[in-house]
Amino acid sequence: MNPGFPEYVGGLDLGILEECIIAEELGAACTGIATALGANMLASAPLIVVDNHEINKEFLAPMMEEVQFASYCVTEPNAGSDVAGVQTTAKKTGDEYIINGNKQWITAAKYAKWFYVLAQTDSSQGHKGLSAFVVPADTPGVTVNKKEDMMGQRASSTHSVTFKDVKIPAKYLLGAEGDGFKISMKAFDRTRPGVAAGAVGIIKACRDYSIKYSMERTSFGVPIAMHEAVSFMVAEMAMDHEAAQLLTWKSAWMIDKGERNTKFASFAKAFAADAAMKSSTNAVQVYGGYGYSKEYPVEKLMRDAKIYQIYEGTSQIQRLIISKEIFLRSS
Amino acid sequence: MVIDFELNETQKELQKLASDFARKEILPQAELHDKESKFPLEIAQKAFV
Repeated sequence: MNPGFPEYVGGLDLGILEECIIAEELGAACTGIATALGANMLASAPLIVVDNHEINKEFLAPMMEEVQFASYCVTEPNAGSDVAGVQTTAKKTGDEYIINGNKQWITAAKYAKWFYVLAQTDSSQGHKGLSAFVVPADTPGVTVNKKEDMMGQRASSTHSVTFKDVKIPAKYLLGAEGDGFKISMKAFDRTRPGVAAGAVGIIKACRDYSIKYSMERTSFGVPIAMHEAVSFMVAEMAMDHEAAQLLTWKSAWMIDKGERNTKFASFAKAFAADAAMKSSTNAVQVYGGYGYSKEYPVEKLMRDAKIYQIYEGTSQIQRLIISKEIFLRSS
Repeated sequence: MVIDFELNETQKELQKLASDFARKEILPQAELHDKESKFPLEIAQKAFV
């Protein structure tokens, strides 16, 4: 856990590429469990981006001494893709901020020691009025609500979180007021490759289960792998695995070199997510009726795959980012 | 500059370590955690050391 934490908090300071290598292998076994184990990666990314040593020593260092969790709280009941629509507010009074609002679909919230929270400090400014905070989970006024009953990645424990007159010291502001959007976007550049890698893990699992099953199961007197209708689906999974992995690794390699990787992280995230959905649908197809049964492993892959097209920026938002990068940044 | 698609030795070791852990500690528990929507605290404990 926490492979990317900096050395000054006791971390290994591994690269995003190394995180991707780990995320793919864990994801191939269960992306629900892998997402739970990776929750800290998401929550800590903004802290690592801002690199405030005082804050990082206070919140990240203890996570290298014992198992602790943290959650990334950006999404709200009425603001998902539209981050600028965040309605949670943070009002400064003296040397404190008072936070009020609701956050939705928060991974590992029940187990979190602290939350990364995006809130409006000046709602007249749209996304430029957003600020980023670290909020200790035991602060009075923080309530973690009941666990959501999700379709897939059910091990990751998803909750909504309510902040009611939550007072935190002003020093828990990350960067300056108004930096929240920029910090969150920079954090995405670091986290999207790792999320894509989880989807790559799903494609790998689909490929491997489908190869094994199609060589064992027979129809019309031969293993079903002998039928091109089946083997072509497997061929496509192998092709998608390779392509998704290369895109993912390239986007990680770029950020590890200090290059701006925004477009490539979106390439990787969207491609891997869509390919994971397609591969898992086809894995169920290869297994036929057994694929639709909970007695076999592939229906879970299909349920787990779907969330990759939704969280950490939907597949549509990734295309929006790519379009903006092409037409507005001419990169 | 040469393009090199090969992982280095450290990365290969890390990949094997993660793969072994996934096969031994995660895969056998996946169905239970899915069915019961159970958070993997025990697995996190094992992943920590």
